[in-house]
Amino acid sequence: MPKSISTKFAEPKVDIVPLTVFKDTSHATCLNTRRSVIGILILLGNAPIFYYSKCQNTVEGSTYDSELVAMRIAIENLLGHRYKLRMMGMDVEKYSILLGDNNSVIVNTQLPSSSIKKKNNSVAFHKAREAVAAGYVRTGHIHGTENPSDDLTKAVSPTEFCRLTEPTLYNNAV
Amino acid sequence: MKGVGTPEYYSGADIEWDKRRQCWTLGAKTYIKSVCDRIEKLLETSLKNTSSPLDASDHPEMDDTDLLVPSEIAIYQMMIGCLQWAVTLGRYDIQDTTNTLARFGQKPRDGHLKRALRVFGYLKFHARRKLYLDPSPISYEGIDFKDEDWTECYPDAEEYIDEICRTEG
Repeated sequence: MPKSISTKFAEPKVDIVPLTVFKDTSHATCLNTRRSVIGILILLGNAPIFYYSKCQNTVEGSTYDSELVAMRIAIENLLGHRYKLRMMGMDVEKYSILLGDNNSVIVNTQLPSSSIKKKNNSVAFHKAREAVAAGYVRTGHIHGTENPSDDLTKAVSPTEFCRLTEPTLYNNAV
Repeated sequence: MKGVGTPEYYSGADIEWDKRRQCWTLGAKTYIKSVCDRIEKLLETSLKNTSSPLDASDHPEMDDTDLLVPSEIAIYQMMIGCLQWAVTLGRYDIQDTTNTLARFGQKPRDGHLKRALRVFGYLKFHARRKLYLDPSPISYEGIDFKDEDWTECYPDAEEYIDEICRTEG
């Protein structure tokens, strides 16, 4: 292998691997079945390492419910990636950042102000709560127009589409 | 033993070193070019430029145009397969559209074929987009973190939880 390439591989750019998860849901997008679509984007630094766009398996009655299910799936995938990176010998950051645009779901992982009656949602809620209490996930709220996982859930307008995919797919991004 | 050289191309993926951002990139330019040429020849049409893979607020499931004939269904399924491989090669911008159109693989309609052609038109004219595997840290400016904790809301919560654990085993 040429010398220049081997040095590029040998020197890691970061000592501790920072992981960021963006998640979003488009509630009842499919007009035939009324199922929601989940979009998840996991970034290692600025590099997208995992993208996920899929219809949910259950029909949910509210945006909050479908966001909870998305959060559970995001956390499960995040756990898998943290484990994989540790097996590769990388030093993963103590906690990963999970960002979503639904404020009530984000707040309810930190504050006790919810009552969840359906079993699947209750399980999803406790999965999210466990991750935050154990300290390997730190949740945060961003505005819906700044969420890059938005275009994984629905068709967006061309200008918004360009803005959302810019940081990871364009050369002229910072 | 001789080295295999700089990684450049594998299974349709173009692997390049980006000098400006100092990171590796993963693209599908070669694959997209060859597959667009093949589809233009097969359907005897020219792909048009669009700036997004699917119109905003477009619902392919509401389409009620004519059903495709079996020979066209095979072409439609081939097109969806090609799109799915492009997604695997890093083009996550078309992932939602591809998944939406793939639901009609068994019983596609004329409108679905046109939508798939639109996605290929988008890909053909935006083939240079690729994943920038840049591991430099992301900025968290302007993000509203919720760092309150359940136990912090109630000062004596931890003692209370300890008491429950003692009394209820």
